[in-house]
Amino acid sequence: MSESADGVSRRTLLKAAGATLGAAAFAQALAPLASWADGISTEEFLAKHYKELTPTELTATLKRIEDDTKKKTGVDVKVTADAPMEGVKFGYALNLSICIGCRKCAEACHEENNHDARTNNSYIRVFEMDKGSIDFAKGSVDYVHPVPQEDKFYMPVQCQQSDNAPCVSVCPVEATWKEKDGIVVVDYDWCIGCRYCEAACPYHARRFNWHAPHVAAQDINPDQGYLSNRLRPQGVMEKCHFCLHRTRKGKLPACLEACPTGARVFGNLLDPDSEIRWVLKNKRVFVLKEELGTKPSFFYFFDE
Amino acid sequence: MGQRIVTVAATIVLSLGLVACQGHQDGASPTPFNAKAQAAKKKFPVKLRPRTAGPGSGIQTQLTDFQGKPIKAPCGSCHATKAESRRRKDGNSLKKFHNGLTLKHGNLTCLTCHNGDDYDTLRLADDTPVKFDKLMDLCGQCHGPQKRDYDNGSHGGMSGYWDLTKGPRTRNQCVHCHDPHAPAYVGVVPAPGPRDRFLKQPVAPSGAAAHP
Repeated sequence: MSESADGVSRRTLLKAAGATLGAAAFAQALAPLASWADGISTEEFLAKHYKELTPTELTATLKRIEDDTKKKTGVDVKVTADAPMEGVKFGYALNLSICIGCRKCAEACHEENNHDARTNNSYIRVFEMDKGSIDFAKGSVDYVHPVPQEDKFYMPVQCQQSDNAPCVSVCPVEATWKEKDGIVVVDYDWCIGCRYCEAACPYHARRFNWHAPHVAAQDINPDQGYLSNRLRPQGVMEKCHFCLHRTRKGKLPACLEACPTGARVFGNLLDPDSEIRWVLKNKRVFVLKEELGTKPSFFYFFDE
Repeated sequence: MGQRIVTVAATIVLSLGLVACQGHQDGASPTPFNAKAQAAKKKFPVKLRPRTAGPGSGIQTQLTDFQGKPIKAPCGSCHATKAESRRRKDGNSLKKFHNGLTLKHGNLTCLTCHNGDDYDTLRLADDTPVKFDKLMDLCGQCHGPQKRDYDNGSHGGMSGYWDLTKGPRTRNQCVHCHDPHAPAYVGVVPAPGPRDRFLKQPVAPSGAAAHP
């Protein structure tokens, strides 16, 4: 191997070129990590699981989320973390005889829960199906004609808050669990976005945030809950939480208030005098996909 | 014999394992409901949503006051001098008021519900007068199952609190959704549905589809 006139061998030159290329490729590979770290504070990155937070840490966490939201969107929001109420297990029933498929529930959910505006996301899908059988494969969720159609019936589907929830069992990091009042919740700061729960749910009730939701500043609902409708980050799962930031304060869920026909009945399953117990006792009630053994807290019924 | 012991032992271990599996989500069992404590708590009222239209506050005269607000007249101001017609079924044959009012409600006549002795009220079948702003009992005379469901919270929209120990509730009345003169529910255009991120552009309701 011959030395060149200025003393740089071919080997040295190739080595230097290789090292430069390698360094450039390494920097390029790390670039997304740097930009990802931009949006997430050190406190957020090192935060504990929701269930392990002490009251002081929880208060600090809620304050941190409020400040972050103010910084990102300019909106003053109030984030609460209401505990499950004593002696309460929530139940929801839906009257298929009077649901007209107006989708007001899905719209109210969209507005209440700070959903992505571009996809018009909602935790509720309203299926329009032929009378005579429940065939979701032939159902439509994006119909635009006036409702109700004579030969169709309408079936809103949302999280059934199962007592034996497959989505909870499959979560590898325990970022989703069932609370004492029956609500299955997600810790958005703990979720790793693997989407196992989305695959496990037989009701297609979970949604994945492919992007952080687009919500215009004036459309942000400032009444927020840590486990419910606070602004979700990119790459995490979300689902219906029975509006726990409302219902744990005694209020009705947003979808029920929006329902013009009164097809929706919400209440405490443990209270024998509640409306939901009257429905379970007196109506023809069924649960969706009973054969799977999920034991839903969501019921469907008919009038006569 | 030894084989049997092994089988029994295996069965016990298996069943213990199954019990453990079933208890997987038991950490979520709710605290018990205390009926006595609940009954002792003070409850907020369930109010009826007020009626915004209808003859409860009188009938439109087509005249306006100096502020431009429409003037309404109490029903009794005309009906005091008009003889009642028990057989009349619509307003189209009348000359001055109620034109265009066609009754599409079974075989009822005006005076089935309206009170011929005091037109500013309605009347039950047993002659009890009923105010325009609280007519659930009137409708309930024929529509028993609906009234029963309404009374038990499974028919008719509402807002407010599910837990009445925490706050009040407001409920719709029949006439908020059902026009008493033509009570069959008319269709509505649904709120926008979900949009696919890639495949479909949003479809706007158009022309014939938007207007039934």
